[in-house]
Amino acid sequence: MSPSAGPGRDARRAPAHRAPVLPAPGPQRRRTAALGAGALLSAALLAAAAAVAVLPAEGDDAPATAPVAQTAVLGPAAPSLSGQRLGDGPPAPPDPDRVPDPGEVPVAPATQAPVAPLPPPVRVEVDGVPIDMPVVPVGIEDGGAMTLPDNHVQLGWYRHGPAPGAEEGAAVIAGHVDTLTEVTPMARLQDVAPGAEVTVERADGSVLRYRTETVERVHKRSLEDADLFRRTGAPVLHLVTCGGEWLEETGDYEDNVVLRAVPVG
Amino acid sequence: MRKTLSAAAVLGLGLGALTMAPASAAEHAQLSVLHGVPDTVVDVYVNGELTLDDFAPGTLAGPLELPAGSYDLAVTAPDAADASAPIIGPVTAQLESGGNYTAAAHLDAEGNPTAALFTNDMSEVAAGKSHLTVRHVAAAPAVDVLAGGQPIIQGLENPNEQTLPVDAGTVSASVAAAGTTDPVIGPADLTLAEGTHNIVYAWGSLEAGNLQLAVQTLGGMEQAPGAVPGGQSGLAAQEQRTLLSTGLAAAGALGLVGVAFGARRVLAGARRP
Repeated sequence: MSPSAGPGRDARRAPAHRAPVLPAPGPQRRRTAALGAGALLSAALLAAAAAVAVLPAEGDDAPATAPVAQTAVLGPAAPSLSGQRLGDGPPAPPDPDRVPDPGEVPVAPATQAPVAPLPPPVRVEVDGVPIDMPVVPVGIEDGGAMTLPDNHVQLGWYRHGPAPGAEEGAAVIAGHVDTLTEVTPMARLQDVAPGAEVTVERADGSVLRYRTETVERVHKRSLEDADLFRRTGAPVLHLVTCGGEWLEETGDYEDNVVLRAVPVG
Repeated sequence: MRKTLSAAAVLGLGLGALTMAPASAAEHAQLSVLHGVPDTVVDVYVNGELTLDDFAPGTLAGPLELPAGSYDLAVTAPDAADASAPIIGPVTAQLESGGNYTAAAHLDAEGNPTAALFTNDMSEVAAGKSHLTVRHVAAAPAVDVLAGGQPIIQGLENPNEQTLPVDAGTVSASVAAAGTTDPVIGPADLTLAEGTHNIVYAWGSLEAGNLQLAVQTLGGMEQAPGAVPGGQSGLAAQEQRTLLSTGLAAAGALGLVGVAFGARRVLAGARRP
């Protein structure tokens, strides 16, 4: 890097041009002070860069710079994922002394009603970020975690929960933020702006459109409270990956990044 | 003093809410009724009141939401004027708060009409799993239940039941005489939806050749996955940190260049007379 490339050049030259009309010691002191401040600032920036690069990511002990920068990326404070279960209100209690009359009790053949399954999602695209990825149905791991495709190109739809297009509940589609060798497009999920369109293509060729409401980081320990997998209530799409700090001791990220989108039209 | 009072009031309210909540949530019992006696339409009386009129074989009624307590159940001919001459019962059903029950009118192993009260397990089902219960309420000896041709329940006798957790999905189920695999019912496809409890009744009569299955499905016991393990290596976090540190380093280096250049000018200025 050549010295002439420094932006400080012109700024520091300006007082020198005015020097003849000012008493000699003044500009000298000011320049020295400016130099001191500049050196301090530069040293601080370099130190911060070194700290970010070198210090281990230790969750709560991590330097404040990294989390602050990432939180800012996630945009305006959005309302948290609704913890409400909708449409599940308790039925009105019956008269305690009353047995229902004939006609008040539902009666149906004791057979399994055939249920036509919804076409599964096959592709998800998110406007404004390079997320345009195929989707495969996935289930559950022995330990109780959602299965994710073991690669950096596919997303998994939690097939035991609601499908996109279901009348109720949250359809969950998730993918890795990184694999052992790659950072995936899902690393950009945290950059999606509220209002961005999300499209889901289904196996029958139909396309569902969603509008991004929020993009949030949910601490993995709070995942249960986030109602990520709710089966009832208003239909919603949850796109999920990992985020926050990588915790070396657990081999896991501290947070999940959750994009919440609602059906449009 | 006022502080102490308000703290006590808050504490009192809290305790009140705590003790009231479970009572209102689990005050009632749920009762379903299965008709498992072939060829006979009946009426069902609960505590002497007609509750199910012209109840047909192979149908399931309910659930009735009833306050916990003791109930007399009686099954009569469909043209009976009251419960005084029942075909089955009266039997007494003791229903607990929050309990979920199915009363089955059915045949005993010898083919006589009888009734049984089953308690339905409403416990949570592990993510990805389904609960399967088989209840033998048919006029038939002990049976085996097969899924995909393999016995999963063996030696089940009327009026017993057996429950097992299975992987959610569809199974081809059949019922065979105990120790055999030749189906006396089925094979029939059973959909075992994730997070549900599927109760299969083997009912009818072997001798009359009308053995069949009835299915009751109870839902709402699903559990969500405990985690979404969306990262494998920390590379994405590392990339973020690299971007950040590169940016800071560039700014810092640029500043130092400026400082060096400025210092040269200052020194030059100081040497000037």
